[in-house]
Amino acid sequence: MEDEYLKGVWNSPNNEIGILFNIDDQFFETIQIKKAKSKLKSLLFPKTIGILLGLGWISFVFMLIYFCVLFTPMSVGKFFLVGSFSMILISTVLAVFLYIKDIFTIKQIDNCESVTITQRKLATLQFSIMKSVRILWIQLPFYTIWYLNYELIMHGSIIFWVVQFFCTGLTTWLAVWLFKNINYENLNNKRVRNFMRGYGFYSVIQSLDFVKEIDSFKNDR
Amino acid sequence: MTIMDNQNNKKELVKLIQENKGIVFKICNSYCHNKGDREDLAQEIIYQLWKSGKTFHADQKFSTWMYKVALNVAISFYRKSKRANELVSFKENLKDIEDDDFENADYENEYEKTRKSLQKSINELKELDRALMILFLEAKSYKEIAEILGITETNVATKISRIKDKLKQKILNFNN
Repeated sequence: MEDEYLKGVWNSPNNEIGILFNIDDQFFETIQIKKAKSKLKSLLFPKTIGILLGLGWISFVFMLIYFCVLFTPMSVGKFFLVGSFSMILISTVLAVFLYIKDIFTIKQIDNCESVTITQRKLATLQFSIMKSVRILWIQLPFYTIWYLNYELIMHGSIIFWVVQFFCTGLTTWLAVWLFKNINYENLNNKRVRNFMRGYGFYSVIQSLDFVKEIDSFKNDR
Repeated sequence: MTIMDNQNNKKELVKLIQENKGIVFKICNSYCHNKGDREDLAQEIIYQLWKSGKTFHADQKFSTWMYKVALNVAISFYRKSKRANELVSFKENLKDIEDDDFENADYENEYEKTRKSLQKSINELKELDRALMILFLEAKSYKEIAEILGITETNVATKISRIKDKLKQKILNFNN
């Protein structure tokens, strides 16, 4: 089968199965209305909501730390509370920063660039969700120690300490494991894939696979 | 100066899109299983071409610019609907293909049979390989294909020869 024959077949008028609509002003008006309605479902909407919620949480935590530092006497309890919420504040600020960075990336995505460049940017965006989640998980152990104070430390029961160590240990292990393992290099790790699939991040796995596919498409000789 | 600088140029762009809509339809046929999706994708591509008009410069080759936009939109659309369609059974998708108008072609006609097999074989390729073969069948030069896809000319040549052989084998299998 010759190349020219295949090209002839491909370019035969029969292959141009028409979709029947006129490309005129009315067409573009209708599409624009449709687009305005579907904007809420776009990539930007969940990111914007994330930023707003994040900013709200940052303001609350900041005020909490501010009043605690200024208006409470120095104590072991204050150390745990201020220390934990400072770490929570830092990781939330980082996550919000990543979300803002993503919004700039979304705005910069240009369909007029070459296919591999645009598609790689789009696929990488999906993965950035995971980066923010990874940073947010880092704060998890701090939610298990912020309430500790002198009374609990000196007079806490055995049961309290067993539960305390179990919760702090588990969340620390989970946060560190996630932070270390959820990345592009570990894409082929079965445990990482199963974890991500189990937590509804299947689309992130697909995007990562696509990034890999694009890279091999570009480099394969 | 870009083509969207004034109203006349907008009309010029719409005219160019109209003249080249065959390309859009062929890309839609290659990235969508069913008629409804094809129509949605065609609308999306044409809208994005119109919207991106300001990035098209008169010294650029229109077809290169158009293929970049159309293929980027088609691949994004395909990946989005692939995710959504994971809830729909594979059988249902197959049924859509079989139900299509162009699937009812006259099987006595060898040429039609090859056309159908060619389209089916293209549709089975990975997204980027599919884009590459579409451009090859559209008789684009290796240089233009390399620019549209963002890979080297050597890479284009190697890939085309590899995928072409697979494609021909598939067509022969379908035809027999």
